[in-house]
Amino acid sequence: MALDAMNDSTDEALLELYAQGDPAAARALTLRLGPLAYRLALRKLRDAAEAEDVAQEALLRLWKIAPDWRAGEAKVSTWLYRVVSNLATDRLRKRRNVGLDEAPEIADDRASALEDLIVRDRMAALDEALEQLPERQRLAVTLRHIEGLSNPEIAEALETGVEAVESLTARAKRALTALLSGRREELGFGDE
Amino acid sequence: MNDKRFDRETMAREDEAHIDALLREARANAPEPTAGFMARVMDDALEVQRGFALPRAERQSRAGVIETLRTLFGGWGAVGGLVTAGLAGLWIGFMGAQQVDTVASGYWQQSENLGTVNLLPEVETVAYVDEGGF
Repeated sequence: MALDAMNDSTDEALLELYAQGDPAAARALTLRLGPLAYRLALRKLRDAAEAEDVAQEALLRLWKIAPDWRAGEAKVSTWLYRVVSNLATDRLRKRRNVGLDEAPEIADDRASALEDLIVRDRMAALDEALEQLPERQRLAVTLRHIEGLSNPEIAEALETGVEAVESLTARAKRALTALLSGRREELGFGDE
Repeated sequence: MNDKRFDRETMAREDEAHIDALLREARANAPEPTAGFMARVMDDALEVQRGFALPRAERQSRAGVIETLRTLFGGWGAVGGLVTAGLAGLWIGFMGAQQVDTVASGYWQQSENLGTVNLLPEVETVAYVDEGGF
C-alpha cells in the first residue's frame, strides 16, 4: 500500500500490515509513532538524548511483538504510552541523584527571533507549571490537550475510567490556571 | 459587591481561556525528534520486519503440530488423561506387576467382591436386531 493511502489507516491496521511484511507500513508507523514516543519520553525525562533512547527502545519492542499483536485488545498508542512511561521511570530511578537543575536543556536549533523567544518562555512557564501538578493530572492534561489523545484512550493508558479522566483534566486545568494566574503579563497575555 | 463578583468570574474565564490557548500553543510547538532518531527507528523497524519471514513460519509450524495433537485427542482434558495413563504405565513397568497387585488389593480391600459392568450389548441382542427385530 502506498504511504499516502495509509494516512487514514488506524495504528492497529498499519501494525498488521507491518507484521505481514509491508515496508510502507514500517515507514508510516515510524513517522506517526516516532515523534509521539519521543515527546512522551521527553516530558518525563527532560533530556533529549535519553528521550530518544527510551523512545527507540519502546518502538523496538513494538516492532518485535507486531506479529503477535491481537487486534481489538488494546490501542497501539496507549500500549506505547505505557511502555515509554515504564522505561522512562526506570531511567529516572537510575539517575535519581542528578538534580533537575543539572538536567540538560532541550535542544532547540530554531532561529532566535523575538517571537520564538516569547513562545519559548511561555512553553517553559507551562512546563514548569505542569511539573508541579500531581502525576496523573499532568499526564491526563498532557495526553488530552498536547498529544491529542481521546478520553477513552487516556482512560486505557491510565487504567481508569473516562469520567475519572475528565475529572483529572478539569482539576489539572484549574491548577494550571492558579499556578499561572500571576504571570499573565510575563506570558504575553496581559494586553488582551 | 456584584461588580466584584462579576470581575472575579470574568478574570477566571479569561484565565481559563489563556490556559487553553497555552495548551494549543504547546501542541503546535511540540518538540520534534532529530532526523537521526527517526532514521534509527526506521532502520530498527525494517530490520525486525526482515526477520519475520522464517521465524514466523517456524513458530506457526510448531504451533500447528501442537494444535493437531490437541484436536486429534479431543482437547486438553483428553491430552491430560493420556499423560496420566502414560505415567501410570511407566510406574507399573518400573515397580512390576506384583507390586501393583499388592497396592491395588490394599486400596480395594476385597477386590474379589467387586462387580463388573458390561458396556457392550449382549451378543443375542445384536443378533435379534440383525434379524429385523425391534
